[in-house]
Order: sequence, then C-alpha cells, then structure tokens
Amino acid sequence: MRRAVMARPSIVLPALAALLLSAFVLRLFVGPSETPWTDLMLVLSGRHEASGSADLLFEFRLPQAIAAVLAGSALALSGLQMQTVFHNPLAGPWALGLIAGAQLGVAVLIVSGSIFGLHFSGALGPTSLSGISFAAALGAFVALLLALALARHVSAATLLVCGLLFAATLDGVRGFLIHLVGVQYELLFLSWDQAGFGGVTWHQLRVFAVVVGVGILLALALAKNLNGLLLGEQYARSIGVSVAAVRRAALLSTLLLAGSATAFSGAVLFIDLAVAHFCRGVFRTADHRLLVPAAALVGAAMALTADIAVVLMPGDERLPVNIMTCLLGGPVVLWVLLRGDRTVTS
Amino acid sequence: VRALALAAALLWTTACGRYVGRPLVDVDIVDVDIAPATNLRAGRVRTYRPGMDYFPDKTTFRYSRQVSIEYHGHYKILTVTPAPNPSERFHYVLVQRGAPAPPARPNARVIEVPARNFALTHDELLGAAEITGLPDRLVAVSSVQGVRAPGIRAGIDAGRIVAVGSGKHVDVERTIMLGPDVVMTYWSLDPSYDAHPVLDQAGVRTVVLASHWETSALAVAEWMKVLAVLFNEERRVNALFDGIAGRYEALSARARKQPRQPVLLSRLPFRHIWYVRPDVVEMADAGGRYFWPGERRARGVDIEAIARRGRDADAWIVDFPTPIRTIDELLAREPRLALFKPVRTGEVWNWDLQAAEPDRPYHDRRMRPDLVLADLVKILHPDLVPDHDFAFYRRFDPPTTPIAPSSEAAP
Repeated sequence: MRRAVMARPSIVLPALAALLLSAFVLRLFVGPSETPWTDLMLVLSGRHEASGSADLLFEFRLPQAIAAVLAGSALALSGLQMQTVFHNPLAGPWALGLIAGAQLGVAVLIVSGSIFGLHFSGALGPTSLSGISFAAALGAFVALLLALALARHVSAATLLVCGLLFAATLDGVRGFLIHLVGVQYELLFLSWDQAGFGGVTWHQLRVFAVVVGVGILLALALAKNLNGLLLGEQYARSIGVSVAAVRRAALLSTLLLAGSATAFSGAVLFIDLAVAHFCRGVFRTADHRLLVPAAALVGAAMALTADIAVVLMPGDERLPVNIMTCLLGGPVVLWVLLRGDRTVTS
Repeated sequence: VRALALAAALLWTTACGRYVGRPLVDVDIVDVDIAPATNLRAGRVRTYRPGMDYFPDKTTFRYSRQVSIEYHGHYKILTVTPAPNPSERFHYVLVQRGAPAPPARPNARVIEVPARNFALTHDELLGAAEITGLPDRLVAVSSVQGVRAPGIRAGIDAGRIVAVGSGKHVDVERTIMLGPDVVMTYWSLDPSYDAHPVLDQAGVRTVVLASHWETSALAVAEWMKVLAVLFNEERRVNALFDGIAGRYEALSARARKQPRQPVLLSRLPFRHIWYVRPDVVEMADAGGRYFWPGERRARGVDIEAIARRGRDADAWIVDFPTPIRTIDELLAREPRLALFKPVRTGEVWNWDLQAAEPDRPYHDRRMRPDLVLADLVKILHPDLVPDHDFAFYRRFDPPTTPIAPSSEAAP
C-alpha cells in the first residue's frame, strides 16, 4: 500500500509562485497582435518610446494579465471555501446564486436604462462599464444577503439545494427582463455576459485588486477554522469553532471574491470547481493553511494559462476563455481525482 | 365534479384558442377572355384558358444569389436556395388564382396568387411590405414592439396586425386561426429554430426568408420582389427596385473612382472581443476600405489585434444596434477606445438617426440601399453628394472634454 505524503508548504508555495510569475511574464509577450518581443523588451526596460507597442503592452496585455490573476485567485478560493462550508464537492459561488444574482443585477440596470433613459444614473448607467460592474456586484450582494439569512435557519445541505433553486429562479427573472427590452439593450447585456479578462480598465483593476485582496485575507484568516469544519459541524463546535460565524465569514469572503470576479470578468467557468480538487489531489492535504494560498496561486495560474492558450490558438479568432478553462482544467482534475481514488483503494 | 371541470376546461381552451382573423380581401371573379395586359392583382379567373399568359409582367433576380423565378403561362415557380445550404432548395409553385395547379412536382409547395394576405414571422421584410404598399395585406408580424413603418404601425394600432412570434417561438395555433394565404418564415442554419416545418405540417403555406444570407445590400433589397411575385405586383415593384438599383450603381461608380479611399472601422467591441465582418461591399461601393478585408464570415477578434490594425482608421461606421449615442458613453464603456483615431476626431457614425429623431420621414435601411450608400458617400466623400440629407446615419455626439490619446493613464 502506497502512502500519500503531504506536500511541504515551504516547497509548494514558492514553486507555485514561480510558476505563476512565469505564466504572467509569458502572457505579456504573447498576444494576438504579433508585436515583436524585442519591442516589448525595450518598452519594459524603458528604452523604447514607440507608443504603439507601449500602448499595446500597458493598455491591453498588462491589465488583462492582472485581471486574469485576480479573477483566477478569487474564483478558486471561493470554490474552495464553499466546498468546505457545505461539505459538498460540487459547491461553488454559482450554487448559492451569486453569479445569477450578478447577472440579474446587470439585467435590471439595462432594463432600467431602456425605460428611464440611459443617463438616469449618470456614470453608473447601463452603458458604462463601471455602472454595469457595480450592478453586478450589487446583484451578487443581494443574493448573498438572502443566502446568509437562509443560512441561519437551515442546514448546509438544504442551503445548497435552496441556492440552486434560487439561482434557477433568478435566471428565469433575468431572461424575462431581457426579453422585454429591445435588441440593442439585449446586445448590451450579452456584451457584458461574455466571460473574459480583457475588458477591465486600470481604474477598475484598482477596485478589483482591493476587493480580492480583502477576500483573500479573510480566507487566510479563516483557514484554521475551515479545517475544523472538515470533521463536521458537531465536532467543530466541540473544539470551540463558532460554526455559524465561520460560515457567514466564508460566505462574505466568497461574495467579495466571486462577486468581484463576475462583475469584472463575467461568468468564468470551472476554475471555482476545479482548483480546490486539484490542490487537494496534488498536495495530498485537506489543511486549509496550505490549500488557501495554494488555491489562490493555482487559480491565478490556471486563468492565465487559459488566457495564453486562447491567444496562442492559430488564426485571429478569439475563442471564449471558458472553452479553455474547461478544456485545460477538466482532464487535469479528472486525472487527479482518479489517481487519488486509486491510491485510497489500493 | 369531473364533468364540470372537463366542461370548464373545454370552454377555457376554446376561448383561448378563438382568434378571429381579419376577413380576407374580397374575392372578385374575373373574366379573362384575352391575354391580360398586366398581372391580375386581385380576384380569381372564372374560366381558365390553357395557353394564355396570365403573367405578362415578369421579374428576374439580378443581385440575389438565392432566389430565382420561372414563368409558365398560368403559374410561376419561385425557388429559394439558402446560401449556406444549397442542397436545401425550396420550390414554390405560384398558381394564378382560379387556374388549375400544374402536375405535382416533388418537394414543391403550391400557393395561389395573387395572395390575399400574408404574415411575416421575421422583421427582414417589414420594410419591403411597407415600401411595396402592402401593409393592408399584412395580418401578422413577429412582434409589434418597435415597428416604425407607418402603414404597418397603423395596422398594429388598429388591431388589424397582430404578433405571432418568430423563429421556433411562432404561435402556430394563432397563425392557423388567422389563416393567412402565405406565412413568410425565417430560414435558419439551425433547423431547430425553423418554424416552416411545423407550419407546413399544419397546412399553412409558407415561404422561407433567407435575405440575411445575401452578401450585398442590393441583393437584400431585391427580396421585395419576392413579395411582388406573391401578389402579382411585378410591374410596380420592378420599377421601384430598378430606380433604387440605378441610383445605387450610378453613385457607386463615382465613389469608387475617388483617388482617396478612407479606411473604415466597423462594429463595437463585446468586452474585449470585436467582431470583424465579412467583406463589406457597401463600404467599397461608397469609396471606402474596410480595415479588416478578406473575411468570409463574421468572427470575434481580440481588441488588441483590432487596435493594432485599426487604430489609425479614418472613420468608424458602427453599423450595430446599440443605445450608445455619444463619444462619452463609448469611452465610459471602453476607455481604451480613446486610442482609436476616429474617436479622437469625432468620426464615429451609426445608423440610428431615425431612432434619435423619430419625426424624420421613415425609410427602411434594408430596402433603401441607395439612401444608405448616399449617406456613406456623404461621410467619406461629401463633395460628391452636396445636397444629400442624411437618412440613416448620425454622428456620435462629441465628447464633453477633449480626449487624450488614452483616457486612463497606465500606472
């Protein structure tokens, strides 16, 4: 019988950070516009004044790479926390209706714009990226408030089922609202709903980074208590963990992470589900003190890798990033899970 | 109790399903002893005379690559071959009302003409119905929302024209109850979206619309002739279309000879994806060059690649349905658009003039390619059409503050 050996954080985390850094640098040098890498090197070293290459680097590639890192980390951590809180390997922010809430928030803003005129809310109107991002965050927040209110009265399993039904209902409401508006408003919604890391501006990146940073710090602070939840709520209470408080804090962290990722990058799929399984399988541990930073790094690397793979596809056509997150993530996680299962049964 | 419930259910079903269609146009019996000088635009012949040419007014399709027609004395055969799938060919045997149907042809649908009324389950030919003077024959459209064509709007407001849905969401029961002679349905590459198989099965006569697969504006406009052959209106519609095509070609010939051919951007970014178009014939006809030539189909390209190739374009012809009408709104949505020259110079245009100024005379963009071309020429080569007033295109409102090359500086 082989014995699973837990990975050592002092080796794993620096290795993951190096991997992420490599992917980040690679992303700056690959792009759809075939800018010579020598030009980019000169721009990065400050010796090149060619505005074309500098614009491409600083206005497109750099913000896109940073957005991928933030969104990947955020989604991976929100998935990890939800799976632990709900003791369910399929739990994630979408299961609580957060994604559906964000989409509904945008749909309500766009429908309001079609009824009251585009300028009814100034800079936060439906044609403004800031307005749409704010509406998405607000929608996710309202969905989370409902989930928190419900969490006081029902078990984790019931809350998960309620979340799925809630998400389906919100989807229906959103579909109905979008059906009511003209095609130009419908296209405005579809434009936002297209997942990807490329639509984030520098101004938004600052907000995105702060919110994700707070969410990550909260998740790190919760790591020890999340370990307590792994053995069941009764056991967690017996060792002094305030289950309700931890659950609420984890939900809040998930809101900050998944809500901001959805607001700024759309509904990016699979990272929230896959990364936690990948980390548990590869690092042979359920200890959140390692899993939280590892998931943040792996999630960021996965989002960046998916983005790089999309860019490297032959031809100019841009594949949706969700195709790549699923294509890359699916087989890897499947392999990790099956390998772990064989180890346990052998 | 069960019997009562059953009776109530039956009554409810009957009440819900009882749509009273508009009465058909009165049918006159027409005696035709000698060959008519023009097509019969109403009524039914009393006595069919073999060998007589019932369709002296004929038409041909010069621009459409999907529609053709043959004339055979008392019937005509309209053939629609959707461009993406030439093997799926639709034959319509249009028989003069009162004359016998010709021997059955495999896969051909028989429709009596002139049709008395019709339904459109897609917006494509709404403008054609208006411009050919047939709104009073229209009984149903896909949706009554946002219809601006005055004749059709009047029919909707008077309750003569109702909505029956589009694509696979067509309300089949309501369509059957309305009983139009012809229902024009949208042909989709995805068969599950098509309504014609269900309607055909229910005995409703359908004609598929595929004008969205045409590759030139004149070919799209030529679909007005499809309505003409259904209503025996070939003479009038030929004259109408020939005028449009003549004006288009004359202006295009002049614009194409211009020594300077401005480079044009088009469409809007969807987040970081920008859809490039297949070769845009109208832009070349207007004396311009699309910045991304050589495409065979629309596809999404990363905004970075678009910026690389299109940032120095001379003008931006958006050509896309959007509520955005000012440069400020454009930049609020995507600040990096400040990198594009047309945004900085204010040369951003879209065909939303009629929506922005509803009091202007109504024109349909699909059916008036001559006016669309004149608008484009006015943007690109204003000296060629000094007296032309814009019919469709409107310049985006200028920014309230001057635009720097990039509205947000990188840190």
